[in-house]
Amino acid sequence: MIARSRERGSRSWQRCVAFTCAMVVCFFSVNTHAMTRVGLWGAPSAVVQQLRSTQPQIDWQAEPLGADTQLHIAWHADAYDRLLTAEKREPILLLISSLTQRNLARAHDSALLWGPPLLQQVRLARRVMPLAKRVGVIARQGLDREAQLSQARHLETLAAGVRSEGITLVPLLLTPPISARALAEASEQVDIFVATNDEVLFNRDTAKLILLTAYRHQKALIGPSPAFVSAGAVATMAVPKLALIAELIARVERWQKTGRLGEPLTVDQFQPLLNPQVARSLGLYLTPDLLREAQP
Amino acid sequence: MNADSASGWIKVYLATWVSCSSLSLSADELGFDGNQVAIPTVISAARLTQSVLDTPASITVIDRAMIRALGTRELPDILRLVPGMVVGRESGSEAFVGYHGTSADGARRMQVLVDGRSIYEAALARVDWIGLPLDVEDIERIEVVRGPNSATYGANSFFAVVNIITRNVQEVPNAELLVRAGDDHIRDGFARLSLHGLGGDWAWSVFHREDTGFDINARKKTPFKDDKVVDGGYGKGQYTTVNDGLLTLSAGFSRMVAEQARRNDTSIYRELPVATLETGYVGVHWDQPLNSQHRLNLKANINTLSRDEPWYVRIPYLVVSPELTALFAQDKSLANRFADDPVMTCASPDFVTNARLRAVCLRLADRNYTDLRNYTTNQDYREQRVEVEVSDLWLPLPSLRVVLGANLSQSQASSVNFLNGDAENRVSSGFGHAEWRLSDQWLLNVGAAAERDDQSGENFSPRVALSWQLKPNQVLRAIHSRAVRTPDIAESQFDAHYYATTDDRSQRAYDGVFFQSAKADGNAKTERIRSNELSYFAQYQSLPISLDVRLFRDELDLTRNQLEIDDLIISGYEYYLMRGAEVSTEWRPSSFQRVQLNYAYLRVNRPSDRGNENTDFVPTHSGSAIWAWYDPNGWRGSLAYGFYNNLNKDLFFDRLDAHVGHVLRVSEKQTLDLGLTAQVRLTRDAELRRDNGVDSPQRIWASVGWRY
Repeated sequence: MIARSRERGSRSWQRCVAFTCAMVVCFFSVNTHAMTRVGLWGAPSAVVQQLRSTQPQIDWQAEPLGADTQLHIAWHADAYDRLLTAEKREPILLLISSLTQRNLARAHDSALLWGPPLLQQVRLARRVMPLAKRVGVIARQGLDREAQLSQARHLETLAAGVRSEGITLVPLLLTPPISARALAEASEQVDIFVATNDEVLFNRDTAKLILLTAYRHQKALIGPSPAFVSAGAVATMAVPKLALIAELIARVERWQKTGRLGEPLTVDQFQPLLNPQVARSLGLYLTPDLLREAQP
Repeated sequence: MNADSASGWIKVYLATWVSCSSLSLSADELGFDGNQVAIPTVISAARLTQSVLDTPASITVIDRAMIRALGTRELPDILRLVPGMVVGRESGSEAFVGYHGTSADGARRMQVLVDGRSIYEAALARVDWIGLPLDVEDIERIEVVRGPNSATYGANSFFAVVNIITRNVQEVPNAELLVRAGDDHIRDGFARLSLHGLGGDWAWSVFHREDTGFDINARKKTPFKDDKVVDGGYGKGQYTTVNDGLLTLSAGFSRMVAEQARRNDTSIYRELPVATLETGYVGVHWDQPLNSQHRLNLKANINTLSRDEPWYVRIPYLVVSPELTALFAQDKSLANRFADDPVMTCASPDFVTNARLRAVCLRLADRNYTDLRNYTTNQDYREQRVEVEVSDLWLPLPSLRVVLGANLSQSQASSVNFLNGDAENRVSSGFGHAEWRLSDQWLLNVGAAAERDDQSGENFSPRVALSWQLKPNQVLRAIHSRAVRTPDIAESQFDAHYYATTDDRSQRAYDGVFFQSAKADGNAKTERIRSNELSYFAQYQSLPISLDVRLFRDELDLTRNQLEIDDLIISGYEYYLMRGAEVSTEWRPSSFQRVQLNYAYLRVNRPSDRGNENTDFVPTHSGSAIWAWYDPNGWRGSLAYGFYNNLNKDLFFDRLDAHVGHVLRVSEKQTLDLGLTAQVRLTRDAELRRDNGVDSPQRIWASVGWRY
């Protein structure tokens, strides 16, 4: 009797444990299914790891194959084009330096713009080379008429804005792909080059030619992106990785709440990013203030 | 949790995380390969691309902007801007360029490279500056390593290395024409075509230069025939290979026809000798990154040179006869006395005691021996050098860069006149250099070359340089280096004879060999230098001025080798001590203006008070000042002054050069380039040699160029 009672008690206890386990599994399973799955396209693995550790409540997946992804992040324009070609229906958040050269293909897509404003780049040029009077801004020749006019107006406004600071802004309109010959001729007109946020002019294929040509003529280049600084540009204004990741997560969380990505957003937190080795080779002296500002 | 609080939490989290991460997105995160381009600062000091703050030697760089602002038409004039460099014209067709001026014959104590290829002539240890298969328009920049550099480039990089770097073919205009005309019958032309095709980028140029050189013999006040015409071409093609490698093919040729003014005063010539000098080369250079730690560099080139200098003379058979040759073999002095004054020599007591003199004197009565005949002889020679070099740039640590390599060169020379046939020499060497950044402030450069020369044996040339970076743009260097100059083929194997043939071949019985001859004993010495240098280089950004100060003490074991048929000297070692200081400063009030001041003080302790060819061209004081200006709107100009004192004992040379030019845009893609250059001698001393005189102190020319 007692033994039977014990057996029943033991079974009840086992059922209780099994039920509890089942509930726990069910809870976590339901919870997992409730997590937002975000696909990251073209993002380096370090960034994926960083997002996972920073915001673990979102399921960050690098280039996921399944169809259950709810939002895509395109780390650059090539990745965005790949997603469009693959006919992904979910909204896409594109990380790009600027949208002046391309438009978003769909209304429910959005962008996070990390390209530094030209005015800040020109002022950085002056800080890197305090005696620079003629700052050459390399921009694209051959845009459509409206874009060309818009670019010209922007450069004129900018030139007027920095004139009082003793800077003569020299627009250098070059047809892509940039040739060494054109850049060599342009180098005779200016003290220092500033690159615009134009990925057609400044990309991985043109970086080496641009940098080598500039340096053959002992001209420093304020690059359009941190990638150019790593490749050999003397400096750029850049969004700190911290700020960019935070903005990205905020954007995703906003989308989680509202179901909309909203209008493209320019990240407005910039700080100098320097290449002291290049500066030294070109005989440029980076002031302690500038070096301090560039520290993480 | 709302979005704002989430962002706040994330920022706090990231603030902790980011302290261990990089500041912002790096190259690979945006699709770049992450390799920084090699910044072309200077490459000549150690075969490494280095900042001028890091080089193990003092360096002068003359860039394209300065070359254009100078408006010069010949390479040596550009080198006047190098402190301590002595530049002068031996004649209209021969330039003397020597760092610290110690070599009176050619550039025998300096290595000269074009894109890393030696143009030092192996047979006669000279550099043909004027006949170089290259025009000034082909030059991108010139790097001059001031100080011994055998550790990097082997023997003959004794006092300095001049590396001429040609223009990048991607940067030159699609098409270009240039003409110059002016005083002294200056008539120059230059044309270049470049294109992208055949899988790479190409540029070909041809040039023509001519002028009349010096005008008068400054000693005798007689006219001086010194004309020269140079024609040449140069081509270069560049291919990008896998993994950002670069394959460069290049070729050049030139032909110079030059009147030999130095033979003006000898009456035996029926006409002034004219030398035709032809040079050519083909080369290949492959620069290939292998992986993140190794970069392969492979060079091979073939250089040829030929000099034809026929002499049309009118002399009696007696001077090429076996009788006088036999006398010379027995008693050189007596034979030379006889040649100078036969009557007096035959009337001397030697007539009685010397049978060979008697035999010669007896021929004086024979008209077959004494009648003047037309003969042809020559001073021709040929030379060829094949050179192969392989090196590896190895990056074992972020703070350590190493270059290791080997070089093999085979030289052949042929000259009946100088060598009585053919001669050759093979040189094999291994070299290495390490640049080790000990800390942020300390940099150690160590290098050495071990060389085996068939003629002179084995040599070892080390160099150690320690740099202390006082401030970010200021460095103090201490350098010790040893270098060698090995004897050239002619010094080692000199065997000179002038074979004379009658122009009228019916009189071939009177062909002969000029009685004078000379033969080296094969014991020419390898010259050595032990150099200690303390130098300071600074770029003061706020002014902005750069300052380069070099203090040096060179101990020299030099020889005095004079390869003259009537006065052959192959000397033993003589000890010289050379001390001095060089200061070079450049002020750039803007990117478009430069003011340069260069000064060198040299003091030589020589074996005797008498000057000799090792010290004849060593100026105690020399210097230059230049203001160069290039306006972004197309104007450019320069005003330059240079001087040397104590040349050839007491000659003073100074000159003022001025240039103004303007580029006019005639269409979107076409420009016209107008220029005017003047060189004005301020003092009337002869230039370098006492004969070298000019009828007018100034030389002015204009140029017109078209570019597309």
